[in-house]
Amino acid sequence: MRRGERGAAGGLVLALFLAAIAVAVVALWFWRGWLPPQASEQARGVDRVISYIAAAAGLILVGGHFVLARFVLASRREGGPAYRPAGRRAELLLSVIPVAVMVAVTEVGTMVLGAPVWKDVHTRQPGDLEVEITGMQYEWLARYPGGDGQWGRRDIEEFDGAINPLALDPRDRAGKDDIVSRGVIVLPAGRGVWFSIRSWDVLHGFNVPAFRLKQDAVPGMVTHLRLVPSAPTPPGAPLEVACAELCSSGHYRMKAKVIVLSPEDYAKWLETAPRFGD
Amino acid sequence: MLRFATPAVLAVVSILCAGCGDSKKGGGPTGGTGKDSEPAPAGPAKKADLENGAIVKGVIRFEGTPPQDKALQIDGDDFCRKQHGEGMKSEYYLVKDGKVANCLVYIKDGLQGRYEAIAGNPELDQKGCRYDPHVLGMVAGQALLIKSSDATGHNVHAIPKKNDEFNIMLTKAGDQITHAFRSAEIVPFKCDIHNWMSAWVGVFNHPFFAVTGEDGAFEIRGIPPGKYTLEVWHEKFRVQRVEVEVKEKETKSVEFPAYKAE
Amino acid sequence: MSADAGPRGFLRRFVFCSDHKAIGVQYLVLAMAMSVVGVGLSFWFRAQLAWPGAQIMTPEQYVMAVTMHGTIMIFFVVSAALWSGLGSLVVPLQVGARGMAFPVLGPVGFWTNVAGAAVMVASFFVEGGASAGGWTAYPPLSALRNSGAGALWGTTLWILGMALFIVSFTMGALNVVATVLNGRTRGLTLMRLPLATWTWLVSAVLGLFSFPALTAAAILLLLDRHAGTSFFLPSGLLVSGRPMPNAGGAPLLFQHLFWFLGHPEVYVLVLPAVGIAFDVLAAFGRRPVHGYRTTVWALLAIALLGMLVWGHHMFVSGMNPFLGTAFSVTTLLITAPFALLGVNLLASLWRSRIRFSTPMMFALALISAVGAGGVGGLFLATSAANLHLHDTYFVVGHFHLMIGVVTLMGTFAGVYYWFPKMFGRTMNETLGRIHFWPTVSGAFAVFVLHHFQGLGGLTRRYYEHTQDVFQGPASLHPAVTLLAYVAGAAQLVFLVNFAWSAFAGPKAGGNPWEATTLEWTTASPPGRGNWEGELPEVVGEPYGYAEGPDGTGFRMQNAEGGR
Repeated sequence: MRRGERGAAGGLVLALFLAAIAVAVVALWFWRGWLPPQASEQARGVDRVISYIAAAAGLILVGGHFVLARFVLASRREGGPAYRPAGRRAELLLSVIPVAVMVAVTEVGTMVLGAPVWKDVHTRQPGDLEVEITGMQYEWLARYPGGDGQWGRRDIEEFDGAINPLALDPRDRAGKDDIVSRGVIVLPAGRGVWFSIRSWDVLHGFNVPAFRLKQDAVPGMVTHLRLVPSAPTPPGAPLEVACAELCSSGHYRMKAKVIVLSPEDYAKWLETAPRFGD
Repeated sequence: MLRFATPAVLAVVSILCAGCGDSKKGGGPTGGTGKDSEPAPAGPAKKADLENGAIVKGVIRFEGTPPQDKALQIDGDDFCRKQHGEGMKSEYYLVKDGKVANCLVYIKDGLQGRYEAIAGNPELDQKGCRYDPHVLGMVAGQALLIKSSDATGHNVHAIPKKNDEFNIMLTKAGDQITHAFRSAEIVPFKCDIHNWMSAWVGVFNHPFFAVTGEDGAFEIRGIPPGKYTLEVWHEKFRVQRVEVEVKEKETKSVEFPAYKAE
Repeated sequence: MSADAGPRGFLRRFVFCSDHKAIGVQYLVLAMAMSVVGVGLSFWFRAQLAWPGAQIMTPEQYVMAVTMHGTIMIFFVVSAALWSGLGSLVVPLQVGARGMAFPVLGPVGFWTNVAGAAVMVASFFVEGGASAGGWTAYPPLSALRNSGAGALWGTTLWILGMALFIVSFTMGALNVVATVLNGRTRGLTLMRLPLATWTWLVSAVLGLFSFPALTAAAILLLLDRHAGTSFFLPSGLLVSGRPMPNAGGAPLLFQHLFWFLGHPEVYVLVLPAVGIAFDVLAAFGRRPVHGYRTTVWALLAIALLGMLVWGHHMFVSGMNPFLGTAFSVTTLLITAPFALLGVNLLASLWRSRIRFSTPMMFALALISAVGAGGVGGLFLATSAANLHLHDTYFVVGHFHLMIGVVTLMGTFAGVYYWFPKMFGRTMNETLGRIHFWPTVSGAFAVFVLHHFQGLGGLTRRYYEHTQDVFQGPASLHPAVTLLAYVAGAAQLVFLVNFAWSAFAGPKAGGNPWEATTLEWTTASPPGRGNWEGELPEVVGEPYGYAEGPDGTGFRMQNAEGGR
């Protein structure tokens, strides 16, 4: 065909180009560590899932592209092999195999590697430290129950943006020793932390990339997330909370620090931190 | 038919909304309209006569031990932390030797018609993660210049009742906007990034107002002769009023009852 | 748009024209006009992301631009061009009908769509600016009129624009379903339909099932905003220090309703692109598609499963974690029929004799895009991996590959392929190549890089990333922006080619590609009623390629003989 000959060179380039994309994608993955540092035990599990999918899906992607390139290249040969319809068997195999491979790769991956992580981050363990996180346009606030282990009551009328951003009720004795920490979340290393996440106004996303976890803060309900910070953060290099759910124009500024302390330092901090009733 | 009725209604409403939105936008230089506001006094604005007008002055006092301001938690923001090595406190109760700063004193009743501004356009700065000044007064229709001197993002959020709300990010030092309020009221300002930041902008139909300084003193000039109700407003204390009558060129001292510890 | 004895007068010919081919072209023109707005917005905010120091826009403008870019591109560009435009043009021709089953719904639907687009554009000019709550419009942000940028009137207009779009889509979908089911010519059984028409049928049904959920959500949202109701607003809300009077609502309800539409909508857009690719691969590969039957079953499976996977957008939304697992399982199941589609696309190239015309180039690139987009989907569908990747640039890259690149590859393949049926001419091949290469290279590079930025944790919808820990992934922003500009600028070549070829392109005969489906059995462009005289009678399968003793012949779908 006239048209075919004119376009053959284009087809060759196209085939190589498509294959190159697939190779580039996979190469980029291995070229450098794209994931942030791992700062929680759960991060390892999440990274394992991501790496597994990257490897399995990457192989399928590269394989598929090489087949694509090969078919395209083969077809430009003059008088190449003539078409014949695939037999019933071939068609059956070409249907069953991709379905089986896909189901195996994905469902097995998510069940074997993914489900334990998913369960872990959603299940409170005895002995976990409970920390309450509250999002508001555009700040993160953390609260600790203090020595009595009791959360003080909130009274929305008591809200004061400067000195009582959680609207704790000063008449409630349980709240006197609550510790409110604004923009800084202090956690002990090696201990399970059960976050209870809330929001005052719109949706926010509690997201610490180094922990590899996120959970939306939804007004009107309490959401949860469990993780175990793996090691103390170096002084002056805290982790970052970066809001993950669009909360209007200041979304990009909705940040907080996460400081992970050794258990001893954490105990010290807990003792000296100012209480709400002070 | 019902199937198409809803969308048809929506379509009509949408066109109406587009129309009214546009006309609002054209309403003023800032798009502000005083919705459900009491109408401003009619007639052209008069000039205050600084030469012959009366002066009212006084000092706002507090008896007893005033409430204490509390330390703010600013560790989450490195920029603000660096500006305040010794930390920051809330700025509700600036009371020194029994004298109260940041009170807004103004003529509440008794004036006929509107008056032009005496001072130039007011400025509200954001400096060291605070609004500066914390309280200021202005005449309705004046252009309020709002700026940031901080090399961090601030969010100017005005939450008026009668005027239109606005909420604008100033992302770096030197950013500025202007805004004109049309209706008289005291407008709270916030920064949603630093929720401790607040300011109050008193908007009046006349220039006869003053904000007390650290010495608690206020002075209002150019008041036409007449009988007035003078009011003092403070963000945490109750509003107080006194009646005052002034003659031409008179300087009158006014004593408000002192605030007391509750 | 044919010049023969149609109705005269401007209004009758262009405004109230009920000819499906003219309406198809009108939709394409609408999509091109709206793409100038949509792509323009992305050029604007990509500049801000790449060079934050220059402060090209304010944060308020940024969130508005991002929101409106998404809305306009999905509903008024991709859907208008691919689903409505090519669908209106092709479906009646491929089923051998004189027109759509309900001819009046054509212009009514089109002008409703125009009204929706106009409302969207108008929303930039209302007090408070355009909607800025993201194209997903999640409440409470979208339900509160004091929640920030665009909340005052913009979101209201956004809802109304969407309502108009839904009305328009519903009319179009009803028309397609009725035309395909009742309007087929003699001999054209369902299993003899070209795959492109199959995909329009499946996606129309899918859309009809899923759009009512969004309609309901939009009405409830409108009531929350303007009638003081609390469908999506819970008690205890405190907005900028002000307690709100609402009580009893559930923000998550909206997300369920939205994604009950939102996810099927992805397939509504992707499936026709894949269907077009099958038709084009067969016509330019000179062989029948592989696995016609399994492809149809895969399409039906995708449609069915597609209704059951919406929760995978909500893994970290606060939805019960058990549901998360369930949605993860269903979502990964849907990869199976998609893998089948992929294999069938690939296998359709086996022993092909490819003619490398522009439609074929785009169809081949589509196969690659389906693969690359699908890979990203595997990560996101796995709930544990989603914990890290949700709301990052990984998501942005993934959905742009699927509902941006796949759909546009399909659209372009379709426009170049069916152009003779619009204007009786073919598009310029050289310009086609010049359009193809930067489009494909740029689009792939941009969205693949997005994936890697997302792996680094880069959060989406951020006005700037200068003040955070994402410096590594954010350093790619300038490169990504420049690549996007290249790909975007290449579309000017397409617009020029389209306009020029419509008037001055080489004249095409009835069947310039030697293709076999019914639209090629009539003139280019077909006159009113599509066929002069009798409608064609179908006697065989749609893809009668590789016929004859040497395997290079072809047989029209209405021609006797062959296997």
